[in-house]
Amino acid sequence: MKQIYTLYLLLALVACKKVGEPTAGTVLLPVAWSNPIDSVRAGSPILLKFTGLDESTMASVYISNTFGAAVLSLEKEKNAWVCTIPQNFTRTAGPLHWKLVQHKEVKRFSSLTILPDGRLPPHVETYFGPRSITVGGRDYSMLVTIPTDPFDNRVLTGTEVTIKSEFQNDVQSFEKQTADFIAWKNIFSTNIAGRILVSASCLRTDTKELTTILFPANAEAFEIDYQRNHEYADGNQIISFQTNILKDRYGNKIGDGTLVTFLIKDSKGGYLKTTGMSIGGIAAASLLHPTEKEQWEVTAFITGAAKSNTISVAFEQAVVDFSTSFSTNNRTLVIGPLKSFMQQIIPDGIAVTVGIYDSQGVYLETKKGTAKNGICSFALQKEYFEKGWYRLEVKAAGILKKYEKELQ
Amino acid sequence: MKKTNTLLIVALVIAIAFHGSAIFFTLESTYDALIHLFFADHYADSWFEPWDYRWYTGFTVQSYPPLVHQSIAMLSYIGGLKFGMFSVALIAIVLFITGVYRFSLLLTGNRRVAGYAALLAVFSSTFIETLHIFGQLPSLVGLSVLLHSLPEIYLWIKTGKYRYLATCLSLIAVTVTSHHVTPIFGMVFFIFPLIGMVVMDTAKEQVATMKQVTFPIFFIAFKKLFWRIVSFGIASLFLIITCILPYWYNSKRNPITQVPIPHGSRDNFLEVTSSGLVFFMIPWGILLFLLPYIFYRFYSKRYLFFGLSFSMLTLLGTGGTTPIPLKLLGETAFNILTLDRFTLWATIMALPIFGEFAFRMVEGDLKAKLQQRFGGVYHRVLGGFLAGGILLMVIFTMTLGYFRPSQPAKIKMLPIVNFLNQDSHDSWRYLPLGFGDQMAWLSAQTNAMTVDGNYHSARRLPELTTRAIERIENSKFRGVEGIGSLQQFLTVPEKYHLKYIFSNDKFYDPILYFCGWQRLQQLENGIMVWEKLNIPPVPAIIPKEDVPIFLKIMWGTIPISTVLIAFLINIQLSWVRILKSREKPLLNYMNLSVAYDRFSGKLILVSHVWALLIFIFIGIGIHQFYIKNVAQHSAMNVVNAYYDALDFKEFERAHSYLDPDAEVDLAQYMLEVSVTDGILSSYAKLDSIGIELIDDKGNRAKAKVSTQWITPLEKVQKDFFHELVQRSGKWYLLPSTFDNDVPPDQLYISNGTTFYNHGRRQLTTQQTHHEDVLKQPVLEILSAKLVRFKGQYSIIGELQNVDDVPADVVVKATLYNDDDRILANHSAKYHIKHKLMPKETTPYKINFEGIAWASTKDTIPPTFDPDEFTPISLSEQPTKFDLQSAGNVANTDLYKKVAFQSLNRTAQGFEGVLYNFGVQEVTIPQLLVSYYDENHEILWVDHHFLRSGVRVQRKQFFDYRPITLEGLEVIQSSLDLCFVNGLPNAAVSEKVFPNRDKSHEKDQAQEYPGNGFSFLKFDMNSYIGNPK
Repeated sequence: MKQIYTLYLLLALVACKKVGEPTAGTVLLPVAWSNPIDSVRAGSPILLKFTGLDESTMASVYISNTFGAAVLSLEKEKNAWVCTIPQNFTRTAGPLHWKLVQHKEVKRFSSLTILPDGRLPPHVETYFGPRSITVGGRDYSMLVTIPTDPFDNRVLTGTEVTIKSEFQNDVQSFEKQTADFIAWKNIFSTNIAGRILVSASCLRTDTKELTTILFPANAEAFEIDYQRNHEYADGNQIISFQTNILKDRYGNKIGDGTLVTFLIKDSKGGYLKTTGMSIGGIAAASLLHPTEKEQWEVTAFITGAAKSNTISVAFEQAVVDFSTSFSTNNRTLVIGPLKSFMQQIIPDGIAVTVGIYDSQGVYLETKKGTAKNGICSFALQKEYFEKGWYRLEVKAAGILKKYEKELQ
Repeated sequence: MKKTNTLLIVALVIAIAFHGSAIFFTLESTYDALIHLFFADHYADSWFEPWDYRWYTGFTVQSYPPLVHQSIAMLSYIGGLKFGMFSVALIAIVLFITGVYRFSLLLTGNRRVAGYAALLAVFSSTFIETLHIFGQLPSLVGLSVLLHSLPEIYLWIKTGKYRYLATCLSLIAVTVTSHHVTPIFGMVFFIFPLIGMVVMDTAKEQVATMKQVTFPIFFIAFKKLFWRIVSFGIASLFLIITCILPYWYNSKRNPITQVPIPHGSRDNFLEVTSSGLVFFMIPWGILLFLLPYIFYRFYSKRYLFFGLSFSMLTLLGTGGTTPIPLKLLGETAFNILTLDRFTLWATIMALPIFGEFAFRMVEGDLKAKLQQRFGGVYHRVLGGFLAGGILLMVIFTMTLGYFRPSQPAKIKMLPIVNFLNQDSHDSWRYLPLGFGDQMAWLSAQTNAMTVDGNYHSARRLPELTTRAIERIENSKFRGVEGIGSLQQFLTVPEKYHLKYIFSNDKFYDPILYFCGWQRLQQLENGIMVWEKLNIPPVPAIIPKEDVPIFLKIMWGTIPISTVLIAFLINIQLSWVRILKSREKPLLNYMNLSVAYDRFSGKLILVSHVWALLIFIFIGIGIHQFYIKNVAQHSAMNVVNAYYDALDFKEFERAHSYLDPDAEVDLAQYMLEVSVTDGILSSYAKLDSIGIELIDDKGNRAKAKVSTQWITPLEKVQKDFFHELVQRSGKWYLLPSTFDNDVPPDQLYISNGTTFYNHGRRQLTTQQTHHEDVLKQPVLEILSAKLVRFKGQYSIIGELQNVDDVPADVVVKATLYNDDDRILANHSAKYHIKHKLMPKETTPYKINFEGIAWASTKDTIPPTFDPDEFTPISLSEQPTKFDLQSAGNVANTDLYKKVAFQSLNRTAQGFEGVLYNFGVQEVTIPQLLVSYYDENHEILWVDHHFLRSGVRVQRKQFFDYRPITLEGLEVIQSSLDLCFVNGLPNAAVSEKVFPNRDKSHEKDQAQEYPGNGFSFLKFDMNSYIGNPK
């Protein structure tokens, strides 16, 4: 073989300090170099220069790195053949492999390493999450920083990153080193609800602030109380129940919106229920007064977490008695006036029912109505209730009155 | 000769002036026009690519012949889609009028008669209906071009000149590419009789008069013309196949295997009078009175074959009125074809004869005969009656859409289009509800995709094809299948990447809410946008069905080429001839006109009798209509009328049925009615009503009214009791008593926690910034069980929002068999509170719904039942399950201020009172009832929608009857395979709620000696129709 290969590896700008001082111009290398310059800084132009190629056929260079692979053609330049590695490849850090191919034969191959560009301030991506945690020191948010060079290559392993956190004027700083792309720190919750701010800096770059919210822990046992305007079961006034300030075991007020269920057991065994959402640690809920004498046992729950004491609420009968007047043919009943505890007319809407039974005691019908101005009236038409004796059971405000009447 | 053209030109001028201006007011609200517009938009956007992703999760436009769509698309490059549509409609009008002229000329050989026919075509109610109500542009274009081709076919067969073969085939090709059904049936109903007529004419040339034509002579003539007929037949068959080859290819590959969609044209017109009106009375119009004349003429020897064809078309057009069309067409064809097209063809085939009648009436022998027999006045009256009838039908048909709108009011699409374009909203699919056919116009304006569509033959999802619904969008009109289909999409929207719903009909609001959707915003055009959380966006690459390149090229090039070729070949022949700018020799068929000199006297008599019969028929119809509507004639009628009035919210009419002696004035009544809100008064449609008079005592009665209401959630049955009274011959209802309850305070002060989520704090065209993404609220599944009850598998349990922020909850369960093979998966529908405050618990139940009627052969229940549940048919026994729950931060629909004021146990169950202590009116309260066994282990979850709402600071009464749980079997109870936001439930529980006190749940359940259970717990879920 007459031809002698000469290889020039040109490094227009040599990047890394490991490699040596930046040089301008061309570095010529002999064919069989013993200690080739094998690393460059990302973004520096790279030229491969060959001499002594067989000029009868075109040679080409196959290159590959993490960006991808390409087949490049050579250009004649004076006595040498030059191959310019495209920017996309020279900007990507990591090993760059190349092969000189001619006559379907690999004539020469080697590789060099492209190193991240450490001269400019890096970009630092930060991720912080979850965005909210629970107090108590068990829960934590994780801050992850990813410093990269301007070409989005990760910085060298071991690059220093400073992570700072602030909670209630207490600023803490932590030194971390990048490993596997990232530097990270778990920020653990404290015992006080609030907000933790974090940031990071790497080389000359500072990041924006990120936050996590410390929510209080589950509520502890609590107390409840009630408010009402009077103690009478008029079916109209409102009774409200509220908790004391709900706190977790560390003394934080529980978060707004926490649902508290007030469970009311009435004297007939029914489970009534009303719910309140906490504001400023206090939850309140309402019910109407019952319509008849009642004894309520009230307990509140934050299901699974906390339970209140049980309070007892008694209601006195508001309507003590009422009268029923009948028309001459007994076909119209007027119930009332229904009077409340001060002998005032009871507020509109109290329910009145009349159960109608025939003389044998067979149930016929129940008529329902509500009182207006204390009065509720019913008509028993002769088309439906033929002449004869009937038993009428009038019920209002829990009072039952029975009448035997002859309808005419 | 000169006058003839005048009539045609007058017809064209009137047609363009009348129809051309009317289309701007009618076409956009027709059934079909906007669908064609959507297809046109597809071609304008991607001419050669047949796949469109925007409807039905993708479908091919090769499922409809493309000519009209492509023409609109081409014109849209000049002036937009609507310009294209109106231009094509104008062309269709001109083609139709000239087509009828040429067809009439061919049949009668008389220019004057053809001119009359063209003029009558302008006012033909069938044409008006097809264009202005149905908007069937391709069908009209196809038919018009077919009419143009008929004279050419005649001339080819008669003369054998190749020039005519070329012209007729070129026109057939245009017909084929504009509408597929027209040439196929046109072959049978127009071309076959035409061939018969040619043969008849040829035969007649052998003898002196038509009367002498006998079968042997006819047969000889047929033999003579045989090869011309065959060559034409083969050539046109070839065209039908090749011109729209991709269409046939697609039909073969995606055969229509869907449940037939009910169509009014298949109804019994005597039973369903509205269908009878639209599909029979209107298209026939004034022609109904002339049927004897039309039949008489068509059964003359020359037109004999047209007579047979006309009779067949008339018969087929009667739909389900007689069983004959079903027997003739067979079950499949009967259910796929819309039979109104037969009526359309029949009425258009009758136009030449109608023209002939008009000619004879106006200036021919009929005029003379009538004047001679009945006098000149009668002739004028009769003429006036006919002309008046025609005009009446025109006005009636044109205004039908005005008085009985078939479409919702026109919706401004721009706000919706803008909404879809902003913030990557088009990365998800959307669903319009209550848009009518305007949904096609919306689709045409956006690149966003919908699961719905408006061309039902192209539907692909089994959820749609197995049900007889055209669109999900109007599902409320399709009863159980409709709402059922909609519910599937609403319950598992993640399967379809369906995130946004545009609701133009508040009927659907409750079902959206209870399926876990939330209101996002109201757009400027009044459309409410609903969204569902936790839906992944549509992937960047979605599958499509590809077709070979040559089919795409054929599809993109052939249709327009057929027009160009036809235009080149015919322009000289037809237009020049029609407009008679040059003298040309008389065409062959022009010699065969008959002299109109002897109008049959018998025919006049028969026609008069027939007209009388029709009048009687119409009279009976009107009388029956009247009788049904006399409201206070009997106790039954007044109750019926009262409920009818309530159903249509005509409160003034309802009030008029109340006893005047009760002295409830209208203002008072309106006040009492207007305050009742709830599922029955705001979201229900009365489906059926059964009235039973229980105590009929002369002039007083009590009625038990059993009503069935269709609501979006379930079918509601409710019994009402009314007292009725008769006063001076009229029956009245006694007004029911109203609740006199008065809240204690005029002004009520309430405070509460509210939430707001920014969405994106920072503007970005990329994905939302990391720090703007909220943490998913943590849930904890407290219990989960696989149970079998009444042959159905369900997953039931309870879960809690253990986070500090409100959560929107989605729960999805998957069933497995012993070999870990997936059997089914489904999400919780409305047996769950989808919105939970911090630390709130909810029971849940997941029913495994199959795609209803997976086999098209299954019978569809005849009545409407939105609550009907189709249990999935599982091939194997499920033995285990997994449960995936996900929380997302919720900030709406968090109303929890409805309390249980009292709960009394009765013999049947519970009588309770709800009390609303907040400041929002609860429209539909829902009770969720959990059933527990003696060890407080959950067994079942039931629900109960209250019929009426709970107003602010007021009470509402309810009854609840616990069900029996006999036979309920717990198959598996395990929290092992339960996941919360992708994390194992056990880990969440251990970390967030390590010291859970399980006694709290037990304390809140009350004892009840039920059948198969021991404890019950009630929970409330409130739908607020109008949040303030």
